[in-house]
Amino acid sequence: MSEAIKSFDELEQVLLEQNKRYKVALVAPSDMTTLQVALRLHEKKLIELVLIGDEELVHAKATKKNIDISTLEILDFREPYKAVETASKLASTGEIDILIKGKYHSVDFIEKIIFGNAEFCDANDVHHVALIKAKGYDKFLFLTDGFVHCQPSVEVKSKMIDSIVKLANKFGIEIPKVALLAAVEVVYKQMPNTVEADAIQKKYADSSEQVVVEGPLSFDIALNRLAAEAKGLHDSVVAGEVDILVAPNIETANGIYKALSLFADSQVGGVILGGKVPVVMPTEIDSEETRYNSILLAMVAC
Amino acid sequence: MQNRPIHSSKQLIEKAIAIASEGRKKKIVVAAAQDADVLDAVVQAKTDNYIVPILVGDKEKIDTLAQENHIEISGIELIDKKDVLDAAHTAIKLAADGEADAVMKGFLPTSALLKTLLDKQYNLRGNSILSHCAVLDIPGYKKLLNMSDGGMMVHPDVEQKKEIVNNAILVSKALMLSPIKIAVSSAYDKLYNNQPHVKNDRDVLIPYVLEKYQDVIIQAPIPFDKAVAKNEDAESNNVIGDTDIFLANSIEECNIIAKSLIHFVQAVFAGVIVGAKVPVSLVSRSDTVQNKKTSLALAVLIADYYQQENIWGER
Repeated sequence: MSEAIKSFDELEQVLLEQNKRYKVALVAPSDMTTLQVALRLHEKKLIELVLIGDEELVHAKATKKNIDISTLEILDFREPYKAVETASKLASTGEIDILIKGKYHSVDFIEKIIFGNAEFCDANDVHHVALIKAKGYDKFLFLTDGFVHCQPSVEVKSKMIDSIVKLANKFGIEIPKVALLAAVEVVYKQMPNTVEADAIQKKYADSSEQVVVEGPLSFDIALNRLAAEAKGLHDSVVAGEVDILVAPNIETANGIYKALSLFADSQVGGVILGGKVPVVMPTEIDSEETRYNSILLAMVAC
Repeated sequence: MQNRPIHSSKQLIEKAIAIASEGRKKKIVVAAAQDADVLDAVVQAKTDNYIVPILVGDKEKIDTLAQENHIEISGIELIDKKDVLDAAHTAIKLAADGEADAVMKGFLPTSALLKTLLDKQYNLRGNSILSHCAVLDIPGYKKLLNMSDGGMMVHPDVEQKKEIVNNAILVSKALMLSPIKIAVSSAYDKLYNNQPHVKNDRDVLIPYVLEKYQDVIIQAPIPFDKAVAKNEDAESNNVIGDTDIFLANSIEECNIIAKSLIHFVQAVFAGVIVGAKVPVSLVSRSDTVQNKKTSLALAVLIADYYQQENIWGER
């Protein structure tokens, strides 16, 4: 890839051209918004959709909404937690490529799929990444972690960076630029996050990895070169050109994702990486477009 | 429009002008005024007729900056203090003596100014802590959103959160809001991963606030989207989609979410430090003219509220 992928449309084109069909399981499928989105991808032959959950319920709901699911394979489980367990097993044994959460609370879903489920993953390797194309910034932004780790350690954050660098490479970004976000751009021992950011930054400065990591950086400096210059950060490589935003904690990344989803002119998507297969976990505010983008993102991440 | 709630930055500035026109124009003293952005802000607000600035700082530098940046400061009271700490003490003393109603930070470290503010000899301590409120006018949201604390407490525990809420409520009252709706932040709308703050917010913070205030509605845990998303059938006693105060769990969360809204959504932003007997206004280089004017208007409303309601007794 010579040119980096810069929009979800381009991303879909790349996936269509590679002519591969991914096996995707929608778990607890009676969420009609997600079901419809997944069906669109199924009809485009980008995915082969399997439903895992209450067959009677999903039929009833689909009929009410005039959604034709007659061609889909359905594994019938009345109890949602059994559907989730089965899906997790199928993912662990390689029978499906992508998991999508349907109508099941995110907290319960994560606790079941990720924590204490050694078959599927080591929780320390797992993280969420959001992909954001916001008006006013001409690149994709990768943002982590607003949905899995509450207060990730230096070690876990480093794993997140390595994981997203691999993903960014698939987008044609050869040497991704990473900002470790903080409230300020100086190291204060009263702010543990800045000390940790400094430790991560130093670790990558000494390594031969194809990535540039800077931090602590404040949000405005990471996104705006002029703000960096005004603060005297003339040597920053990342400022104004950042690809990957690593938030200090779950509430920060979660809030940025939601603020930009709700109020900015933006296209977004998100996926959980690091398990046996990528997991798509739509949140309530995610539009159909966002859910669609999220599945595309999961396909690239496979 | 006497006591109508303030829901936008435009209404905020209009109210500041109204207060001035009713004979209660506020004096704002700038500590270490040798800062072009700050000079610009106070001159703008003076031109709009809602503050009387008093400049304390290095006269030579102030004159030069004003000239270079075409800022008209003639006719403004200027007290020459070369040393920034001298300037801070002089400015805070003016506030302590009732000669100024609010303080604005100029070219000195925030910590130096706040340390002077809390100096016992001035008797300006109010609540037990100082906290920062970022009042945002977000295009697409129907109200002002007061996000706290993105400036002072790094990782507030539940006791500190009580005080942050007390301070934020003062700002809401100055904005004439009633009821005041508070969303206590969390990534999810239920307990996740046994996060201790979620339990403390629910079991300690909420009962404290409900017992102390009659006209406050507070809920936890509330993710950001639930706090501000469109909610057509929002009930009057629900914070969902109708939040006035978003209480964050860390300085980073508050600071970074606010900055993302300023950067990508062009939210208008007014920052103020609350908890002392006078509000402290802060503006930074990256603030637009609109932000600076709104920040000063917010300080005016808070100072006026303190005085009209005699919140801190006699100074």
